[in-house]
Amino acid sequence: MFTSVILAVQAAAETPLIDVDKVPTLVAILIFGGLMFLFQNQAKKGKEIPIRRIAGLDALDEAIGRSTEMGRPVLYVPGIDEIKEIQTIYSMMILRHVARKTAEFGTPLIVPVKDSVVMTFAEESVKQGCMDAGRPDAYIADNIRYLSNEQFAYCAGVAGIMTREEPAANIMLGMFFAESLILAESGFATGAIQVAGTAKQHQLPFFVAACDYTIMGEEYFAVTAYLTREPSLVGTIRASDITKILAIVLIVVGVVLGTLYPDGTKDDPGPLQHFRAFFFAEPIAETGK
Amino acid sequence: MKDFDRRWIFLAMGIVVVSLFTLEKPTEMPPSEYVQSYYDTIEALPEGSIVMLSADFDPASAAELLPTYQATIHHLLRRNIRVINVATWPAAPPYTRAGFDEIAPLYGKAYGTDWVELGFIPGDDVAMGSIGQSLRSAYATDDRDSTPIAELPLLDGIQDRMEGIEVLISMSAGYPGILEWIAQVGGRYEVPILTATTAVQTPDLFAYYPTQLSGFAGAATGATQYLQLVTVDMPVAVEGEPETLVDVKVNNQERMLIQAGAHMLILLLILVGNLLYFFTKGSR
Amino acid sequence: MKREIPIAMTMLAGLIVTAAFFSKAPWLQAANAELLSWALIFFSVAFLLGIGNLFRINLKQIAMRHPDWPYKAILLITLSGYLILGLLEIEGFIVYGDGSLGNKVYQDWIHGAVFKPLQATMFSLLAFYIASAAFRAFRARSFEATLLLGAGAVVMLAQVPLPIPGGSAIGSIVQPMQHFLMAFVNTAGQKAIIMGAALGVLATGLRIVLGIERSYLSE
Repeated sequence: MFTSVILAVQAAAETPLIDVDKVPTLVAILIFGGLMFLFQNQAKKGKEIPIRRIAGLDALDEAIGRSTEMGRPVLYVPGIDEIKEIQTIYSMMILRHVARKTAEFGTPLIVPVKDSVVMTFAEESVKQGCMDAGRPDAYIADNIRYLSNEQFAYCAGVAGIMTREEPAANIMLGMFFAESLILAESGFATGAIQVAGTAKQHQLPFFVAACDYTIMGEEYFAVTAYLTREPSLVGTIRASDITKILAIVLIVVGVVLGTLYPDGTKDDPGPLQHFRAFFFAEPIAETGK
Repeated sequence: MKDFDRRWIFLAMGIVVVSLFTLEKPTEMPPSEYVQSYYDTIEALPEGSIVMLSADFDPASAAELLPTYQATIHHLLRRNIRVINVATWPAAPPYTRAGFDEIAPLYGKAYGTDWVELGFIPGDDVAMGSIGQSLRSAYATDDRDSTPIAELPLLDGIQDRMEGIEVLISMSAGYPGILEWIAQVGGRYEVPILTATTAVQTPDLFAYYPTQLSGFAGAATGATQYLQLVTVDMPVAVEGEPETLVDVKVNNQERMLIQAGAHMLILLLILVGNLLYFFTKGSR
Repeated sequence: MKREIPIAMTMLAGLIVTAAFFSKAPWLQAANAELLSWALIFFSVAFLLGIGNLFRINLKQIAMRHPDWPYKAILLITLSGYLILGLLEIEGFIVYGDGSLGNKVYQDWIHGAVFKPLQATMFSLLAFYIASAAFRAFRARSFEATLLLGAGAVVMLAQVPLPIPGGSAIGSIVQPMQHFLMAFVNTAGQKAIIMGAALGVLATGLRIVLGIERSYLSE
């Protein structure tokens, strides 16, 4: 559909402006972007967009409260990736919320980081969180610690903090890799309450096994919307859900067509092929008998 | 059960691994569809074609990936395929240097024409994007003796946007690794991708096979299967002689038994844990 | 202006890189290649920033006689030592026994003798921790948890040759089950999670490029 329009326009131009193979991706992004703006505006005008309860997020406050009662620090591990990773950016937003809570309660917050640039961001987030709580004096610069750029050296460093300083709550949110289980098990051994979250699917089983609460996959991206209820963020969540429904409809139609009409003929390639050509710009192959 | 000292579990695991290590009993593993496809993709390449081999691992995952890495170097050089080596993990280049220094002379290959080592590039997936966009912008010199890359004859036919490169192979231990190569290079340019990965990454790969990933050797099991395929025509290992790829294969085959022991211990622990759970639940 | 300039730069860079994905226009490709080169330079400079930070914090703690100060001193000595050795080797100031220079003999030796065993040891701890976590956490508490347990057991058994009587018979039963679980059930689940997470990434990416998301500017 869209491809044929693009092809017609490009036939007139000398150098091709748009890569025809990528038109379906472009259209999908434009639809998603459009939905995002639509729902953001609706949310800003006061329309209520509900978000379901996420147990792992409610547990954040519980964990910080417990640390306060026990008079022990809260440990926040923002994952091991760099700031360009979206999950790290999200982790910094959540860190600000956590820092606000710890500052309100007067509980020390320790943030070990693996990347120098993330360290600067972590410092800013904690400072902002303390200011949000009206307690700028609660910011302790020495508690934002650059440990090492090397994965397992960092992991050993964090495990050391867990053992020596015995935080009562370990919050691990961000991008994690092979160190996830070592961190979670070290934290378990100290008896801390543990909340973990990542969209990295292959580390999720380890967190589920060793932590008290786990925030999984796309729940992770709903965290800031859930905590702040800011209209633009809530609108984004709604746009993601609608796009997912559209994707599900396309998948179901494709599966039904593929099941009912597995093969076309040479003269008529069949409805599945037409469907794929229409929505995904795939060339119609001669697979028929 | 909360008071149970978990060091008993550590001790049991240690005993199982060490005792099976001494058995030295190699076990054949039939190749999976995915490993066979990894092997066949390399076999189907015409002689003289150029492959990009990316070392995206470090010592932590070398036990799983180094055997496949060495076997891949053997496989490529034996088939007279030329290799551009890159690395997105800083601890990987020593493995590339050691691998080619040892293996290239066996096939009479020369540096610069048959293989080049461009070395580590910082920037993770951005670096991968840059390599895909323009190899010549991403690297100024090689890693071996800082030769400007314009003076490396192997790179003469390489153009921007991966043109001239037949296959990209990633030895992937995590991030950055195969998923980033698929997103940054596979999704943009028409180059088939192969990979060997650690066990924890392997379940992710099924979602990309066979359209975005042409084949993969997952974990020690995949490595053993691939080693068996590559060493089919190689002479049997001789005791006392320097280590050959056949020795690496036999070592890997022996390790399968150790892994089996560890797996069975973990299953036993899960079973005991569950029995205790139901027992204590019932008694409450 | 302190806010507007970074936002404008982010938008411009984001739009160029995105446009270069959808278009093969030579001028866009050239602009994209240029931006990627800049990004690589920033990454390299970030290493320097990291080293600077490390020295700043650790020197302060050494001066204040922090309880762990000897470890911090070891860290700084090792870091500087490896860096200086590397620079001397690459620049050809070290002549080896065979008269050659400019190689990485000592760097590779440190890599093989120190870094390799240390890192491999840390990674190997996973075998012990996985066993402990399996014992503590994998309970058949509910129907879903029981399914997960069963699937896990099948995959683990099929992955290796079973050194027990009847092992090959068990293998021939669990291997087709493993293939079904990995190639169909796992793939379907993976794709769903990937799509959900990709939409989250896309949403945040769009918000940053369009200047809606400004938390990276501490707003």
